[in-house]
Amino acid sequence: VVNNSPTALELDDIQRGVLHPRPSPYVGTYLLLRIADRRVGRALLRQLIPVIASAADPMNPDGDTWVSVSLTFQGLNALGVPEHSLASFPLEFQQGMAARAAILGDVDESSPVLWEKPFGTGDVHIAVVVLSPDAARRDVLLERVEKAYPAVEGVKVIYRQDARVLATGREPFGFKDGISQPAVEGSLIKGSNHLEGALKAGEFVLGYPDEDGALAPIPQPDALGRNGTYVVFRKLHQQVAAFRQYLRANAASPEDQTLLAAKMMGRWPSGAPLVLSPDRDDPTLGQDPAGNNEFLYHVDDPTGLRCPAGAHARRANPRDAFRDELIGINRLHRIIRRSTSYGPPLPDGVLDDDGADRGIVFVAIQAHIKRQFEFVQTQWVNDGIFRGAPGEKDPIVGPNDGTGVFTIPRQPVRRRIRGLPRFVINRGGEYCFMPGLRALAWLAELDS
Amino acid sequence: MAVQTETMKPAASPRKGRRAGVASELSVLLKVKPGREQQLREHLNKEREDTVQDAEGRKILADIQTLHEARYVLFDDDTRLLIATSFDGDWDVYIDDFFRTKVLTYWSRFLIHCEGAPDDLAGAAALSLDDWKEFLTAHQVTAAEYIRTYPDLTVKQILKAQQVMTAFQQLLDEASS
Repeated sequence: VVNNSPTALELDDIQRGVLHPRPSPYVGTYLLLRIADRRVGRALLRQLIPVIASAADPMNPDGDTWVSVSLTFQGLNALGVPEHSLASFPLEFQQGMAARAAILGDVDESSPVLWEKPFGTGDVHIAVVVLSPDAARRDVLLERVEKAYPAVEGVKVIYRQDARVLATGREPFGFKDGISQPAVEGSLIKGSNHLEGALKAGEFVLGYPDEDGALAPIPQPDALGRNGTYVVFRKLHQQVAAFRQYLRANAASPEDQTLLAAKMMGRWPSGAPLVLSPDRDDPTLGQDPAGNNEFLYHVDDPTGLRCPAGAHARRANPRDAFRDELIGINRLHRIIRRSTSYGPPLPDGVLDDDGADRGIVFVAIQAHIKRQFEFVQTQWVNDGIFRGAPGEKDPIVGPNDGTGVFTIPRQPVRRRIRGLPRFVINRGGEYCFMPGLRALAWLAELDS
Repeated sequence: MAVQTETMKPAASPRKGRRAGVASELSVLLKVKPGREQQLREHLNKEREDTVQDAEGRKILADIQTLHEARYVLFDDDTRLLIATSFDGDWDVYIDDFFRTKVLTYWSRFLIHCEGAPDDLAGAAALSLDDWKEFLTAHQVTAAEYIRTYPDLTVKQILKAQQVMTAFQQLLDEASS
């Protein structure tokens, strides 16, 4: 059924974290819970629902603070969701991230056998995310969440990860991130790039027409699936010292190190895109939300002389890069990123690893895990076939093994760096379903 | 615990095309509707012999930029049809992209003569993308063996190599003239 008419989004039923960009600056806490007793699990949901903001709630005048709740496949099972309903979820969600490690490139140091517990063990049932502009307000909200845990056995917090923006305002490698925000039809939130049209709501919220022009099948019953979405969590440890050592070993000068890092990332440390500022960083542009994402690749930089086709940002979101090709349709493979930094920063200039755990909690939101997150990860980040460079992987986050290659177009002769190791290690992750608010109530009222 | 049901869409079905280096194969075996054999053969002959149609077909496949080749083989007295292609990457992963291309319209001109497909172009145009995916993946078979002489080369690399070789030969021509 082709349906191109705009459909009003039921914003009051969609969790706020689905459509709203995270606050900036931010403080966040991720809690993972295990349900031992389904009745207690349902009671917990009943307590949590009033704390969860919807996309229709007005933003606090002094900043945006909210709680999001999502569940793994095991979590839905633990709550007693009927078998026929469980079977209506897509296979990749049923299997979970750990089972898809080989497909996702989560091998070697990123292999699930090395993941932090409880990731990938089947014990993670519920993920609660609390996000706020500062610690004080986060703690108020966290206290309300903690009151929802029953004093009795039956539900247990088995993992906590705090995250907060670093003092630099940048992720651990030293780059401003969280810049790109796709426009979503009916969300009332502006996208960060006016050169790209709004995406159909069905790419990010279940129950609405998507970019295929149709209503995709949603988990059944509708009361459970409608207004839900899928959330991909990955705790990505960043080897900052190794990254800096690599830059020093492969660049001719400190300025060249900055250039090389920017070519690998696709943006300068300030966030200024290479396409708009090819030769040097432009902090004014980097800080300008109206300008720092306003560009295309095919139109502005078809040969990659400014931003290499293999750069991280250009891989993860190639925009119009495949305009003249029939496949690689960017609009079918967009995700909403909601990542936050964790751990202490490695001080400037330090080249030796201090053993600290630091990185980002990568969060991706989409209606189709396979067509969106998994496609981007497997085809564009982990592989180079799509652009005729099958030997090259993403130089920043790709599963390189010490023999990675990265090509930087340049005139008269291209530059090529070799021996890339893996700079980012997956310490564990989960595929979650983030139901609408009425669906959470449906789950809380199950009586099996 | 993984549950697989009949309602699961083919986008979630296991990969079927065998991989050789950077490319995977797509082989689809179809039965021709009884009485439509001659129409199908005439259609494919015309596609081949009509220079305009032939050029159009080649351009559609070339514009994919990851399809090495395609062939349509009628066998068993034209009662069956094999579609065989080689595709850079995984067909399974690109299936959503592929079904939005003109290839589907182009193929539907002869798929209407095959069992399981609508009888005419109007019916083909009305079929949803999910139904098309279901139709082709349901008839897809995995090659018992798939071998390529240049397993590490993509279509884009081959086309680029061809350009470079042409330029190099031109250079040699100019240097020796």
